[in-house]
Amino acid sequence: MIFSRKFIKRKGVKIAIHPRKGESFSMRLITLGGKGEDPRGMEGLTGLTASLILHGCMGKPYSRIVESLESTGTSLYFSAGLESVQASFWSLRDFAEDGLAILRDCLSHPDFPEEELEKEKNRAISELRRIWDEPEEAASRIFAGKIFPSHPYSRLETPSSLSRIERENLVKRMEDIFLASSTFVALAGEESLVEKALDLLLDALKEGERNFNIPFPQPGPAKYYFYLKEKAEQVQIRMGHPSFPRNFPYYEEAVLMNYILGGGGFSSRLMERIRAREGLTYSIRSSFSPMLRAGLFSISTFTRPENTARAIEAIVDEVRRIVREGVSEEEVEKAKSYYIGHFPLSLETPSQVSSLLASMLFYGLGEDYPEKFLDKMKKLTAEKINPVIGQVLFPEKIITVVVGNGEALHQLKKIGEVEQVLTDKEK
Amino acid sequence: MEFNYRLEKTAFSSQVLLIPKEAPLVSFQIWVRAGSRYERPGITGISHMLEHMMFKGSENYGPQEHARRIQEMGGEYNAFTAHDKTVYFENIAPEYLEEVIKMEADRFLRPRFDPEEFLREREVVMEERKLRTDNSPYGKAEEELFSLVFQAHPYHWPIIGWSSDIENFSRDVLVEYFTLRYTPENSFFVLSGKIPENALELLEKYFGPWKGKRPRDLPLPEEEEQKGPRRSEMEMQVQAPFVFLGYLAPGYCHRDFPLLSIIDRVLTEGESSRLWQKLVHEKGLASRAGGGLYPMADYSLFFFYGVSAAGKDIRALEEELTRQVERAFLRERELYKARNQVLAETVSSLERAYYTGLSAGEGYLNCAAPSTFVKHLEAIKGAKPEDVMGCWERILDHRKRNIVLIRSIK
Repeated sequence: MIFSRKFIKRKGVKIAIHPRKGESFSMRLITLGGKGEDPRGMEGLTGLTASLILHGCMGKPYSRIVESLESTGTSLYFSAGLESVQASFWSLRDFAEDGLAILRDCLSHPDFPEEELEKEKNRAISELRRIWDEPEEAASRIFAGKIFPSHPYSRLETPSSLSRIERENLVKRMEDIFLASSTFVALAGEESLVEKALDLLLDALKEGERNFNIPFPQPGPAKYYFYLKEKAEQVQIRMGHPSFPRNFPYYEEAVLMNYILGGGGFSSRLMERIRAREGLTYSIRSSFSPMLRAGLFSISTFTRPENTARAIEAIVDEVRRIVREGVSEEEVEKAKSYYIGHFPLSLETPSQVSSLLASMLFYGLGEDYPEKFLDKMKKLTAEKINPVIGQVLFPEKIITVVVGNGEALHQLKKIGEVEQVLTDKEK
Repeated sequence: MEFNYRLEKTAFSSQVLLIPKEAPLVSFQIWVRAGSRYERPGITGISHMLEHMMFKGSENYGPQEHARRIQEMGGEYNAFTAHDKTVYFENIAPEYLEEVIKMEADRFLRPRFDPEEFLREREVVMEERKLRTDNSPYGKAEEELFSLVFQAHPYHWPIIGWSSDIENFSRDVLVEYFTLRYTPENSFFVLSGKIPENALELLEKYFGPWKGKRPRDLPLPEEEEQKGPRRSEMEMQVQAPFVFLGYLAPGYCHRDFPLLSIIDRVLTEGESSRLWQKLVHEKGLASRAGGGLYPMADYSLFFFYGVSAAGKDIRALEEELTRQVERAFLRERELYKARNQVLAETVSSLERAYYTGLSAGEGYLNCAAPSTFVKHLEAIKGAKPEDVMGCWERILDHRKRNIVLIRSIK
């Protein structure tokens, strides 16, 4: 075993434990149900619910809750993804129990005070406005909203959807998530503390299991989206399409292929061509983000306005080439060597281990996943990878998002029909 | 707080800081006294440009080959340039240490600085500058704040350099700068984590022929006392106007630095911090607010910021931000909180060999004492409220205020 771990099930909750001596305690809790389920017109509901859990519980106000946590150097935050809500906890050993007691109180009895909801809604609306000021954030936001065409995973919160959300919606949403049989907990720390932590946490979860019936998103036709920033001296580019979910049987094959294409820094083909050979950018990377009910392939880079068309065409060309020609044995050996060497190095801290354990539980990867992953990696060859490429990359179905100035728009129009995006303020 | 280290000197006159600790890896770091403070107008950003060129090949390795080899080991590598230093690092499984040292020695002793690669990389650096500064309102505001706070000292110019300097870099200047600064006496090594027993022998074996003295640097100007507030306003394409606020503070080794760290935690750390509670939560003037104490060798920059909330006046935000920052008072529970926060951060960074190496390296570089970060923690534990207050009144004084305000283009 690469690291010690044990798995138990209590009150229906699946739990992974990494016993470890040390001065800190780390815990991840993931529950099924995320932003992808927000009702139409009420996008932002799960995100607001997650961020308001600590804004008052059992009559204790938000300011006192954060004061209690931060007074001991404890870090606790809730975040909402498309398919889950996650609580991340880290504390000094001696303060773990105090912090976990707060977590229990807030998970079991969140107050969701009206006043706090109003404040947080206003803040979220302000933040939506700020996003457009940073080209990188703007590009990523547009991409998230376009990548899964007519699918709930691409419906994003807007000022109007946020303003529609009422306290009763939060209360109802909270009742619907954090159900014991759909919740997963990973802990790393001293065993005596782990026991106490479990007693506190399991107390806070309601019995039950939830359904998660999201239709699987399919790639659509290639499209080009553009957001104008007149003064921008640089163009942000995001490209991609829907791809495979986490339970895809050829996950490792796809991961290795992506390392060769654009995941492997200076070892990747995209970096070699777009940065080193053509000098079009400072950085470019591609990645797969597989989830339970969807997956995503994406490429991210930036360039000068006058190089917009050239960069995009070169990127598509590389994607087409890897689909057409596959990867070589030499490339595969180098990529394997990276993953096999890197995996043990990435498990240095309790937080890194608890984070891996939590995703193993959430995606049902099996208790021996770390060993199986390495084992499978060792056996992969170009011959095994090449037939998979056409199942995960679709060069003719790439969605392209560009944020830049008038010259960038002019360039983009040379490649295809462009749809211009407006911010809520501009509409 | 357990922190053990050993300091050794190699035959080729470099210091080596060894920090053995339980870890699946060893973090190998080379610290060079090369950074923007050692530059002059006309060549600002040359330290950073040189860092880029160090990845462009050496006698026995092609461009980026070094990086590719580290990746094949499953390791992490990179380098960063700051005001007072350039740091190169590799986090790798211990069995690869010899190969890593061999590669590092090749580029430190025999770099290529290929003229064509140089011209191409200059373009890449220009793009990096656009990404981080010219195209980012926050990057631009930060650059402006440094220039406002530091009027005499080289901290005045940005680490990446002014655009026109980058455009005019010549390879000759780069080589000259390299020859002067990348010497064994002007650099030191840090090894943190699972250190192989023969680590020092490996350094002697590959870096043995490395020669060169520590350059005799001329004294740098000191900042004159600021007699009144300074401000700079810029119009940009932003929907959310924001304000940056900065004050000149003493450097990392100064006895007041730990006291300033306390004030920093009180004002800016987390959602219970004063700025978040007052500006974001209570008054709703900002959608986010915070700041930090940016440590450097000769001075530090104490900075704060607020991003205006939708429909709120930026002037009202500026007024409230400065009021909160310049109002010196400390509650007992805030002192308690700051102590625990710093303790937690220290424990957390000691969980990783890489961060442990960085913390110790910072202390050695600036204060000739690798355990400075532990001493800071002790000083924070023993700090008296009246000392913190004295420091607060001296540093966060309204006459010493520097404001950068970013408004929307009308």
